[in-house]
Amino acid sequence: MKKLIHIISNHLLMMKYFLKFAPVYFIVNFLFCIYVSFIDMLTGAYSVKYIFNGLSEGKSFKHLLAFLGFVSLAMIVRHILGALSAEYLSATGWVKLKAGMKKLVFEQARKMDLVYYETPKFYTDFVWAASQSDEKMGEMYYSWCVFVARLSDLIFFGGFMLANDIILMLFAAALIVIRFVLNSIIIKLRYKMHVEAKPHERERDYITRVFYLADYAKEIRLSDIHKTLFKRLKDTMSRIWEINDKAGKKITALWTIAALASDGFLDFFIYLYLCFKTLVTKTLKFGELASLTSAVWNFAYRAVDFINVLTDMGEQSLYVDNFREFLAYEPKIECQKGITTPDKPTVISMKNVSFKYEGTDKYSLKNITLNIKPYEKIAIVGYNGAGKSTLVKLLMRLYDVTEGEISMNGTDIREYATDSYRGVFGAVFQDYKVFAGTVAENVEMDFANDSRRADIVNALNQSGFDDKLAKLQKGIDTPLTREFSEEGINLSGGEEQKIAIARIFAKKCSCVILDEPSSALDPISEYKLNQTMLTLSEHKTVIFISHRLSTTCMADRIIMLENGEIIEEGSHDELMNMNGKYSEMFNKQAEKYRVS
Amino acid sequence: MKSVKNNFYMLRLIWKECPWGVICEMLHWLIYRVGELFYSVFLLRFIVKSIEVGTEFSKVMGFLFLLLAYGCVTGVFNSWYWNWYRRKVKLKIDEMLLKKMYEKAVECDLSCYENPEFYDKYTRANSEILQRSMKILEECGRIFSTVVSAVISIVIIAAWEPIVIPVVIICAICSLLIDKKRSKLKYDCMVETTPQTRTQDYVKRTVYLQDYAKELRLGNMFFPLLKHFNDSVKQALKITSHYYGIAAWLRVLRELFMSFGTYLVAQGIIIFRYIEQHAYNMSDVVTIMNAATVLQSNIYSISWNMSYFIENGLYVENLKTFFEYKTEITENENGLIPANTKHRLTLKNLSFTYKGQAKPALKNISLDIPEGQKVAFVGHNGAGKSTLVKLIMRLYDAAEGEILLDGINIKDYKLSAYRHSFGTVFQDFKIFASSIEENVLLHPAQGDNDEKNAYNAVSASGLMDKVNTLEHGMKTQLTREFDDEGTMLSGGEFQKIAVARVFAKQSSIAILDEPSSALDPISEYEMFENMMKACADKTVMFISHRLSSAVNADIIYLLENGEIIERGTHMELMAENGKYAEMFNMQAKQYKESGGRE
Repeated sequence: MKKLIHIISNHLLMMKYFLKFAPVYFIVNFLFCIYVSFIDMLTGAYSVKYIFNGLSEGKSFKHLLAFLGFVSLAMIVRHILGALSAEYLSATGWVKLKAGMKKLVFEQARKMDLVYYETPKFYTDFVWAASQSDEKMGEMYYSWCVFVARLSDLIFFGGFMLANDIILMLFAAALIVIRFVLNSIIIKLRYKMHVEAKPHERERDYITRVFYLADYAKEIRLSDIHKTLFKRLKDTMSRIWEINDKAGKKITALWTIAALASDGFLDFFIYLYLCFKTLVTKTLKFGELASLTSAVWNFAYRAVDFINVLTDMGEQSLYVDNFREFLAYEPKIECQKGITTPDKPTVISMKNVSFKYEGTDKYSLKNITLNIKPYEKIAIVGYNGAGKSTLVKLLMRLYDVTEGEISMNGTDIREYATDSYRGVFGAVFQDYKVFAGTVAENVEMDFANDSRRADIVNALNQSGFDDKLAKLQKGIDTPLTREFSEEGINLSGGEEQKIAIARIFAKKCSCVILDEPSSALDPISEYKLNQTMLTLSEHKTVIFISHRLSTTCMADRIIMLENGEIIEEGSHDELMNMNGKYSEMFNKQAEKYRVS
Repeated sequence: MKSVKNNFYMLRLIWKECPWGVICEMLHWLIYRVGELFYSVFLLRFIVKSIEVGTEFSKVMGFLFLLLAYGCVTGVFNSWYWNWYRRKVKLKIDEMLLKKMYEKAVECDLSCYENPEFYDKYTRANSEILQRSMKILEECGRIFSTVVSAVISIVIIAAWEPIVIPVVIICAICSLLIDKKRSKLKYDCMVETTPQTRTQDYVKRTVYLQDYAKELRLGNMFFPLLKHFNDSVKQALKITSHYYGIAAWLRVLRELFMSFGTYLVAQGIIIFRYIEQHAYNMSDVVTIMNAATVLQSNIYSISWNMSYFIENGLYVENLKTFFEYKTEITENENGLIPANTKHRLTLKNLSFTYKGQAKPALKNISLDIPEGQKVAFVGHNGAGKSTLVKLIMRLYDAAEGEILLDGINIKDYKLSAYRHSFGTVFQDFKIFASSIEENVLLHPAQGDNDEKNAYNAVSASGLMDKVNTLEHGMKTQLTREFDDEGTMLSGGEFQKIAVARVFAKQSSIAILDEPSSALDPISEYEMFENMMKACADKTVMFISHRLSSAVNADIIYLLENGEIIERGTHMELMAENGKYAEMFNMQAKQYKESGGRE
């Protein structure tokens, strides 16, 4: 009972949203569903009875024509309502509803802490699930319609049968019971089959993708991997068949029982009963016979449908549970209120900071203590996976530390308002993204106000985008990417990077973070970039991550990370004299250059 | 008309693979439709007739037993077919189509992937292949059976009341025409709202995809995007309500034809003739009236199924284009097979322009690579380095000039044998969802030799330390495609696997297109050392940004704007003091200045 109330309340919640975004469609369509089932009963049962009885009783043509006219009129109303609801209201209603749901979810997703995006489990359960809300809403709405329609069918057809022959209800009940019991077993068997076949289907889909995605095209042409894949496909398909075969046989057996019982014998008995009553006892008129046969079937099948839709609705409720949780989510980091940060660069310090991703045992960072003085230039180096990116993400409070404390100007960073704190940093990541929007918006990362235009142009000049900018007819108002408009331009990788770098210059930040921004650049561009970065950031604190040690030796201090710990720390010369890991790494890279 | 042709094309393919599937499917739908006709027309007619002539109840019983037998036979057939045999048919068809598609995908030219129009069709055709195959058969079955049932009902009606037929048919034609117009409107609406849909999808992507999450949190870019979203919704709503407003009126019109035509007029005529003219018996009225009702529902079904039929036709059109595509670079079955020795590769006046581009990617390239030479191609992004590799591998054919292997034009070789002479790592290499071993060999290991070969290759690429930490060693399954517990390696480690492929392949020429870009310094260093060792007797061509790796090459080619502007050994090029020297010095500067131990 509790469970039932829970399911109902879940559906009511979704209905509330539906009603909010597309109220007219919601109401009109339900009325339509009810009306349709009334018309079905009218044309499928009542009018059959009325006309045939009328004919055999010798009613006048006029009388019957009037009846036909009345039914036609009712049908016209149905069609006008149908055109309005299923055509016009449904098309516009869905546009509104989808947009409304999307916006609701966008607002919430935006506030989710980054951890939710980067932990696969959370991501699929939470973020991805929420993104499907408008489609799920469609499924649920369909269920509601079926629910309303079938329920009214049961009332109309049931009423018709009760009014004409109560014993027939027994036949219908038998039919419903047989169908329902067997259907529920079959559904379970099917479900089991799908679960079993899923891994194989995944494999099949994967192989299909490999063949049609451009990414794999070269490798497929140049090696014999396609033969292996063919073979795997064949194996997968035969395994899918085995599973289908096994389940299919059981389902066939059950289905056969259902078919024999309902389509065969029950059908036979219904007709036998009705024929007996018309022909032998003569208690039933022909009109009733004709209308009742169709009424029994309509009643029984629609009842089974009604039961099935209840099962569906139970399943859909599970989705709503997730969705509720998503909506109720309170971010721990994003959009928090607090004090504002100082304007000028201040000391940022990490005290015994450790961090591990939720759901993992291994610490990504262990016991990091680090003081970053204002205006200092710090390089973070280390192997892939040493924890460099995690460190800067903690600094920017994209994550919160697991243990220890990060403070700015002596205050724990959790005391600051998130927006204000993030304003301190300008960052370029390895995987920076350019958004669909104008050049100006992409630099400002917000609406570009007129007062900011000069600053934006300036920032673009500093990042070396000036040459390209001069070639753009609309200047900084040029839309980027073709997502929003055909006139948008696609930039090359290097040009996009310059846009990303211009973001730092345009932002009045006091601390710059560069997470391997130069990895896609060729040597000359890389060199130029490093020069500009350092000269332009004289009055800022700079933290940068790089593989290429030639870049890092310009730093005031180098932090070498290994397995989440700081293993070496100091200036380039100090570290070289230390003769440790850093100097080993540096020498290996430098060796070839020194040969000449 | 075209969609009929396309559907038949597909039907023919299916027929060839599995004729019984087609027959059973048709039969299945036929039983369904004819059953409807049987129960509502013939059975009721029989009962009414029995009332009229006073047939004995036992005779009626006999007829009902016949009905029982029919119900049982069709019931058994349907449950056998629908629940068991049809699954087999589906899998058979799927396998046939997938295989056909894969075979084509392997042989179709790489340039197809760069032709957006073709590629778009191709991906759509292929991504839907599994969902579509059975639907096509099903739609054909439905339409076929409905038409059969409609024809039977028409014949029945015509036997008593031919005048009903034109009424029904005129109304049907009108409503079909209106339906066509309606689908056109809906299609137009979809086309016109495409930009809006795209905008909305894009905004959705930025909000949900991990790639954008960081930047969206560090700035306020969300708000300009949201504005675009809101604008696009408003626009979409305007367009939709325009088109669907018209479509709704058309629908009303159609329903008027249907309900007036087949309900009011047809039934009216029959009743009129019965009462006023005593033209026939009660049993005839039942027969005609129910046949007219069945006919009406058939017309509804046809117009409903027609839209799916047309949609399927469009889909098959895409698939057909792909299946019938003529490849330019063909296998050349009778071509020469390169001798299994070392090779000399010669490029003569090679020029190449990508389709749809004005600027040539390569201009007049001539070079000669004797066996065993270590060649480095260096240059800026977009200088044409990767294009050169693709031409050598014959992923494209050059428009001008020729490539010779051992003095013979590469077009004269058998394609697969020719490509077999090379081992290649691309910048954008891909890892397949299978074991490490298979990923290195690119085929399943057959015997100890293969296993040893893979093992050595992995050692040479420097991944052995990692592999040893994995529970299943070389048999470890990579990627999470099939298994959420599957092993994911870092970008650098994946790259090492790709490099190991070259080591494992018994080819005499190795091509490496920026193999070290994702590696950290020490791994990069080790990889190059190992590569030189493992490929000591092979010809090696490699492309790199990092000039330090070019130092040891026998010859260095510097490309700029598709042309070779400098060539020579490191020493020669440094002495020349040209572009190469400039680039090298710039990169070396920091390393040199900061000293360290020698």
